Amino acid sequence: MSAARTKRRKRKIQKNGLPEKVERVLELPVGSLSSAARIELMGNKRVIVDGCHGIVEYSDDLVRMQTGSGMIRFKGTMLSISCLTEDSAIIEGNILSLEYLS
Amino acid sequence: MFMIHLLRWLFGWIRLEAEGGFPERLLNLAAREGIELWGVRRYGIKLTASCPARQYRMLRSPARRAGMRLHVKKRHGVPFTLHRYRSRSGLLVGLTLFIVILQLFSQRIWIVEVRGSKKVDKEKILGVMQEFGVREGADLSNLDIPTLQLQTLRKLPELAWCVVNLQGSIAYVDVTERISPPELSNPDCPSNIKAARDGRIISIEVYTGQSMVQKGDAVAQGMLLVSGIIESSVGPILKRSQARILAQTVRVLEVSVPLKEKQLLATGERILRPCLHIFTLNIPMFTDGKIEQQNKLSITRNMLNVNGISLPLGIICKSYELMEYRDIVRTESQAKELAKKRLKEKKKELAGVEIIMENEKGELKNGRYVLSGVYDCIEDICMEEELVIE
Repeated sequence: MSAARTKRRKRKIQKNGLPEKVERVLELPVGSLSSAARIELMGNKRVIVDGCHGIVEYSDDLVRMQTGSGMIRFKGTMLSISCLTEDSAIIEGNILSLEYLS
Repeated sequence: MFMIHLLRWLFGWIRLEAEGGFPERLLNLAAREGIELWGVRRYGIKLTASCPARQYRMLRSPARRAGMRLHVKKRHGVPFTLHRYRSRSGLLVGLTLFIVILQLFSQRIWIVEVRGSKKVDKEKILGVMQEFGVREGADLSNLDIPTLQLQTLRKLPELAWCVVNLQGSIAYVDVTERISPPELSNPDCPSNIKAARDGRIISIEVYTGQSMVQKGDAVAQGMLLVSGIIESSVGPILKRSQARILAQTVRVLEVSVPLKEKQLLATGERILRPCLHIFTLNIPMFTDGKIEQQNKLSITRNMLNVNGISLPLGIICKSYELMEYRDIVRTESQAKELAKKRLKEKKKELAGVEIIMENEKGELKNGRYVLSGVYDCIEDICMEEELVIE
């Protein structure tokens, strides 16, 4: 009985996200404890993605990447990855759209 | 951003091209391996990117796993430039020499300049500075400036302040001369005034002391004019005598010029002895030996000038003008002219004396032209002499 309750509680915590809750309560910046991505757009020419977990698709007019907040997709023209590290990426070019896919 | 570009350039970077396989997988694997990639562009099936030269080898494994082939498009940066010039060892030697010489010379004094001295001879200050190690070519790190400043002040009491300011390789010796206080005469020390020369007194102004002469009196050298011992009802009072006594005196000046004499004259022949001067080193640029004949030396320094600053590099040219004894025969008029010239020079001794009448007379005497001048003058003949009281 108690095991089932614990399982349920765990699932609830995972669903709501404890780190997000702590961040909200302590008024910490988003992403400091959770794995949420921090996306910084500079006009439509440059975007800095912090918390990037990998490039899923890349072409001249599309970049799809996995982040802590789910899959995101940038559409545009002449897109290039000006910097890529294990957990961040900088994309440059003419950015036309940013979509959250999940 | 500039620093990043500079570091990339220093360590070298490669522009690479990858084709076939899965470009995204290559990017992810490279990122996971910690390989820094930038400037990633996709051109159809090809992917171009840049990576540090030292990480290019590490990129081969991710490329193989992603099924991609790597090609180097271009190499940039210092390591590749040096590699290109590896066969030209002279360039490397030159560069090394340049750095060594620059390092070596920048730690030495090139120029020592004295500023702020008017009465004290600059050469004298430079001489003292040299003693304490401030000279051309001296090592800057060996200088103990606060101590040498104190020692210089001790050695040159005519300086009130002295400081050595180092500006790069130039040592500026900034000095301030001491203004000595005026010597105050001691009014308590009793003295007499005596006659400095023979004459006839024409005016007397006695400020303190007892006058012993009167206007119109003839006095001889050493005669007492004003006494510091004043007789009074309470006995003698000792005072310091002060007076201005003008007398008419006679001054005689005489010069003589021989009609025939031996004189050391220039032959017109010159010997040049140039030396290459580098700091304190003088490298002779001649092979001749010592000059035996009598000579007159003149030195010209042709130093390298940069922005008005004379560097310790250049040519020092020593010019020896050879001299020899020659017989000179003068006519009477030539001797007279020369005698007049010399007498004029000698008359400078009478500066501060008013000449009221002069009589110059010349004659030939024993092979010499003798010009004598008799001058009637008016001058102060006071000569103070301290009274010694036992």
